[in-house]
Formats: sequence, C-alpha cells, structure tokens
Amino acid sequence: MSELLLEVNNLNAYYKSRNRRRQVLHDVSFSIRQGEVLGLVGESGCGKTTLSRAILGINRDIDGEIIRHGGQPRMVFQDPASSLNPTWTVGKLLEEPLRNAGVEASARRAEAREMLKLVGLDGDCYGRKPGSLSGGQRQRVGIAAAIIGNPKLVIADEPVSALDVTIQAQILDLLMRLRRELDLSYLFISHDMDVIWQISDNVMVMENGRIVEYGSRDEVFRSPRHPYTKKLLNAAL
Amino acid sequence: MKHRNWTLRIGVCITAVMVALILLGAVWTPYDPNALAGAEKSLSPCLTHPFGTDNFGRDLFSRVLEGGRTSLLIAFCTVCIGAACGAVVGSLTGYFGGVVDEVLMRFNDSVAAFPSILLALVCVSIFGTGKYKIILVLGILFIPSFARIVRGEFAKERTRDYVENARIMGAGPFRVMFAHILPNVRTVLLSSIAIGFNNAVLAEAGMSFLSMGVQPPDASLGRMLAEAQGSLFTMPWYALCTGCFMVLLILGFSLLGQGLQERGDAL
Repeated sequence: MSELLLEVNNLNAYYKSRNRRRQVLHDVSFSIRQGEVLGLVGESGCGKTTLSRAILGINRDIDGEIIRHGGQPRMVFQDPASSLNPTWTVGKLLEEPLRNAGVEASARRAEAREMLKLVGLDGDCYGRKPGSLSGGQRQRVGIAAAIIGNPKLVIADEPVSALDVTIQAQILDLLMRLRRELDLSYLFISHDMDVIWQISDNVMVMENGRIVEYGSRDEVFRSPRHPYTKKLLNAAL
Repeated sequence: MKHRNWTLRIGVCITAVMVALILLGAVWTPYDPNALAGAEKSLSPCLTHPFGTDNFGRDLFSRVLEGGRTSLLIAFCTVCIGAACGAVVGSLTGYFGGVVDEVLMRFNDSVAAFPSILLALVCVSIFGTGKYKIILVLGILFIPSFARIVRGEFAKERTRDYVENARIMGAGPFRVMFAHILPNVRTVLLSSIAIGFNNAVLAEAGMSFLSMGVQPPDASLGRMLAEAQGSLFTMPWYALCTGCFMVLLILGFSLLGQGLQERGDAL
C-alpha cells in the first residue's frame, strides 16, 4: 500500500451567508493515498465546493481534522476563463506558484516552458493572455498552473464539465497521463457518473453535506447500497 | 459593424491638443507672460495677440498657457495623491472587509460628508494659501471618492475564481490585492482618474477664483477668471478666451473619462 497523502477525520464545515452561519458538511471522513484518484459525486449545493475549500485551507470555519501529508494541495477549476487572471500572460500565471515559493526567475521560466510542453501546448502560449486561447487550451493552462511546482494532491472541481464533449475526452486523457507520469493523486469532483467511472479508483457519494457511500469504484458501481447512489446510477444509464 | 468609441476619440484629441499646448507653454510662449507693454494695453484679439492683451499690456495667450500649466500641475498632483491613497484605502477595505472596512470607510465618510469647498476654505484659513498647500488640501479631499470606487471594485473582484486561485498558488494578501486584482480594476480606475482631473481643475479654479488658491505672481485659470471679471464688459475677450480654454480642458478630460468608462463596459 502506498502512503497516505490526505486524511480527513470527522470534518464539519460551516458557511456564513447573510450573517447566518450554516453547517454545510457533517462528519465527513475519508483519506487519499499517493497515486489514488478519489471521485466525489453529488449534486450541486451538496457541499463539494465547501469540502475542497476546506482541504485547500481557504475555508477556515471548520472543526475536525485535516492532515495534509503531501504539502499544500492545488486546484483545477471548472471554468478556466474565470480562474485564470485575464490580465496576466500564461507564462506569468504558470510561474506564480514558483515565484511565491522563492524560485528564481530563470529557473521559473524554464519550468513554465517545460510545463507547457507537458500539457501539450505550444511554446508561444507563454506570452499570450488566457482570453486569446480556446477553451481546451485554457483548461490545459489551468492544469499546468495546478501541477507546476510538484504538488502531490490536485483537486479537480468539475474540470471538464464546461468543455465541449470532444475536448472533454482529451482533457481527461491528459489528466490520466499526468497522473501516471507524475504520480499525482486527484480528488476528482464531478456530477457525471461516466467520467467518474473512467478516472476513479475509489468513489465517494455526497448528499446534503454527508457522505452516503464510500468505497472502491467497482463496489460502488456494481452494488450501490444507498438509494441516492442508485438514483444517480440509474440517471446515468 | 464594430462600435466606434467616439467619446473616447474626441476626448483623447481634445486632451492631447490642450496638454500639448500647455506643455509647449512651459518651454516657449509668444511673449513673456509677465512682460508689461504700455503701448499695447487692452488690445482685442488680433494676429499678433490671438487672445488679446490685458490692461497692463500682457499677452493673454501667453498668460493662459502659463495659467493652464499651473492649473494642470495642481490637478495632476491632486489626482495623484487622491488616486494613490484612495486606491490603497479602497483596496484594503474592499479586500479585507470586516473591521478594516468599517474603520476606514467611516473615516472616509466623515471626510466626504463635509462640503468639500467649505472644508478647503477652512484648511486654507488655517494653513494659509499657496500652490503646495492647495495641492495637499485638494488631494486629501479627493481620497474618499477614489476610495469608494476602488472599494466597490475590490469587493466585487475578491469573490472571483482567479483570486481564490491566486491564494491557492501561494500569493499573500498584498500580492493578491496589488498584483492580481489591481490590474483587473484598471479601466475603472483610469476613467475615474480622468474624471478626477476634470474635478480637480474645477476645484482649483473655484478656489483661486475666490482668491483662496494660487497667489500672485503665479497665474492660474481660476485667478485669471477672477481678474477678468472686473472688465467683463470693457474687455470681454479676457474672460471669454480664458473661460473657453478652461472649458476645453475640462471637456477633454470629461470625455476621456466617459470614453474609458464606455470601453470598460464594452469589454
């Protein structure tokens, strides 16, 4: 068994909107091992985003335990058009995590160019703004920005659901190839059961802030125990 | 068909011409603006004196350029102080919210609540008049409006994905504010700077007109208008030419500001 990368134990998370503090996550526990892809399914508003924000350390209004053995996780967003600063060049965006980690300029540039190649983009993207790229290219930049600087865990929050169907497959292929080559682990959030089936080792189903099903992919897909999982699988068929 | 932003184009043209004239006036004027010429008193506009002369025989075109320079310089410094401090206050309050927001914005409100001309007059009567004091007083008075605009933009931007992404990439709060968010509010900031210019020229002119601003021998457009008032009927060209020059200057900045705003909305 490979080593544990992330442990979440009895996590409760809260969200404050209009001065009302609301509990969004209830007693969530799971773990992710090195190289594992954990698929997280659930409908919108069930707490998936709150969970990823808690793991990233952005939402601090939590109790319970989050142990990050692999350092700071990173994130691939659903819509790269809004998650990549439109006024920055691709090169500057890619170098930002390295800059904040204190890597010097020439090494940053080399690393950023290497990353572009790794995600299958031309070198001339380096000086372009995200707005001048196609949706698929932009998501490749989003992925490159999430994996530069060798993070161990990447949270992918619906990374293909804003893309055309043809592009979706390419991006999924890219994510799977990067996982192999860089030994990455993903927490892969999606509402699409097909995508979850393709990419996940283990699957976790969430409903109203609670984990209602958690097991290996085959277990969950072949013999779902919770009615909500059954509903999701039926809807996907 | 592509929308052509005529407001911006005309604004840029007028501003460019006026600023070029004023800059030219800094290195060369047709006559010495302060030279007295007894033989050429109170001339109406003619070929040698396009704006005419005043009752001391001074060439008004040269004096308008000179006065325009003082007005523009004061406006420039005022807007620099106002925009720089306003941007800092606005980004801190907009980004952090909470207690920082409350404290700074209540202070901001208290400055904004005073009628600005009254506050300026009070400051002048305490500290005295003069170019640099006017700059300081007007600059401080201009902070709240910039702060409010920048705050609104920051409050809107901070919830966007790219800001969250910047934090995940390890950027500290000040880097997020000034390197990540600030470039995204630049169109709004630029248009309010142009409009701020316009207000600053007016405010300086107003104060100098009330002889609370620039003092002789410095010429400024406001002071010249005050001087022209006495001879409005005997030498109408004095007030007209000075007034038109100021109107064009303000019109240019105002169109520039509006045009930038339109462009920002269209993006």
